[in-house]
Amino acid sequence: MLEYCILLLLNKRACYANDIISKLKAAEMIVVEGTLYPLLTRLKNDNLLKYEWQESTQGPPRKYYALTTDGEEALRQLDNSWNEIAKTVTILQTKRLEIQ
Amino acid sequence: MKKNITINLFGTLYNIDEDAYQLLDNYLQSMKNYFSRQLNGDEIADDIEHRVAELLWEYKEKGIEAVSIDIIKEIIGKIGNPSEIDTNNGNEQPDQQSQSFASEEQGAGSGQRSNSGQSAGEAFQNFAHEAGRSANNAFHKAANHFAGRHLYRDPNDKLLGGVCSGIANYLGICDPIWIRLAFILLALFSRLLMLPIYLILWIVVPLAQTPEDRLRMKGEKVNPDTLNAQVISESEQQEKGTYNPSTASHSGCLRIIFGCILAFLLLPLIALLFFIIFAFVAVLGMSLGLIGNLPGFFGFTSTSLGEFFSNLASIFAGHEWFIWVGLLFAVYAIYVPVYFIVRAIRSGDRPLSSTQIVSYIISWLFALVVTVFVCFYGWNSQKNSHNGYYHPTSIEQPTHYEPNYNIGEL
Repeated sequence: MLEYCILLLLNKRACYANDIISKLKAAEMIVVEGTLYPLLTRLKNDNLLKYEWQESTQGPPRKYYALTTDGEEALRQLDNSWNEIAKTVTILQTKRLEIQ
Repeated sequence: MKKNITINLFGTLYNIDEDAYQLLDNYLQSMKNYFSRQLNGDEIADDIEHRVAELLWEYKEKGIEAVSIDIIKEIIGKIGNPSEIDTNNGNEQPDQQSQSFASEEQGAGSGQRSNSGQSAGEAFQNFAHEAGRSANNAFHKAANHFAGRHLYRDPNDKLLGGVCSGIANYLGICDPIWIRLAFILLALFSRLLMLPIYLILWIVVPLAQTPEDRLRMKGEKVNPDTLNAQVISESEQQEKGTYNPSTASHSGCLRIIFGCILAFLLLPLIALLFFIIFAFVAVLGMSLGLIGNLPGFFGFTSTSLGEFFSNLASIFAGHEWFIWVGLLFAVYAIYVPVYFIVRAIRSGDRPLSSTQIVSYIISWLFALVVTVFVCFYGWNSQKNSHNGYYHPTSIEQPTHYEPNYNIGEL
């Protein structure tokens, strides 16, 4: 779930961890920041993400993450399956409402 | 007021309080330990360290000069402790999801494996993962059980080396006074045999230097949460001033008594040391003198060294134990002022507490009185008997003891 969100966030442009954190926070998705790092590393190990170091004028160097082609592919698949699930759920929800 | 440390995090310097540093160091270390079990765990820990550096940078930008423990607490709250962070180990649900997610992605990526092969592989993977994890868990439980309590010397409650309080902690006795009393009684009844044992324990048993050690010493679980709590509570105690490194669980009076007893128990050892030095110097001087006297070298050494050692032997044989005891007290009576002078000259020592000073003074006065008494006794008995006590043949022996009396009278 969180993986999907991260992939979504990185779809548009490369971000570094702080960006991702602030966006996830804005979307009320993340509780503690640290959760992100194991996820990012796992996604990177699965070859869905890549990163490059960029020197920053403020503070330490940053890792900018971006999607790989595999990642884009995965994101498209996830989009599809998510849409399907969402569709099913909305259908079921409307049915429940009708029953009530 | 707090001691400040400068740390270098990815090329930027930060001034950080000592306790805050301790907490941060623990935190990063526990991250490293925690994630080292995982694939690319170092990288995760490194990322987190970067994040910490970034947050510290933000504080620095805000104009905070020195990083305090509160800031570190805030940062840890933001990033979270390892157990909160890791979705892999926390609860089953996300783990399963991610597992299936990952294999799904793999399948999609290669797209060539047959369906049955994939599910079998997946099942096997899951099985291996489960088995590995349960084995891991069992191992950790066992390790936790055995690593529950460690014997450490307690640096926060010590009279001498913290051995007794360490043993008390190890056995789970809340007040180390019982162990101390037992030690002293044993020392008295075992003819000071306990002294070398104490010294050996002092050398062998490690001091609980880090908060981690201090947790283990008390048999508490060591995990990032308890560790952080320990660091924080120690820092709070330090702030309140109740956390004095040489603080005691005893009142001042009791400490003075213990101090005196310890001083006298240590006395024979100090005296022995002085004696060895004295003997060494004497032998050295003798052999130096002999080199100029080469012709009669061998004959001369054998007699004079033999004499010297027979003198030593007669002292240790303890025919006149009273004088031997007097000598010990005399050495102590010299040792105390010398110690104070050395301390006064050498700056940078931690000042002695008032109880320490009082116990030194009391034991010193006592030693002085005993020394003077023994001197008078020795003087009288020497006047009474002219032939000397130990060896009717050796006439030099009384003069050999003379310097020791004089030292005592200083």
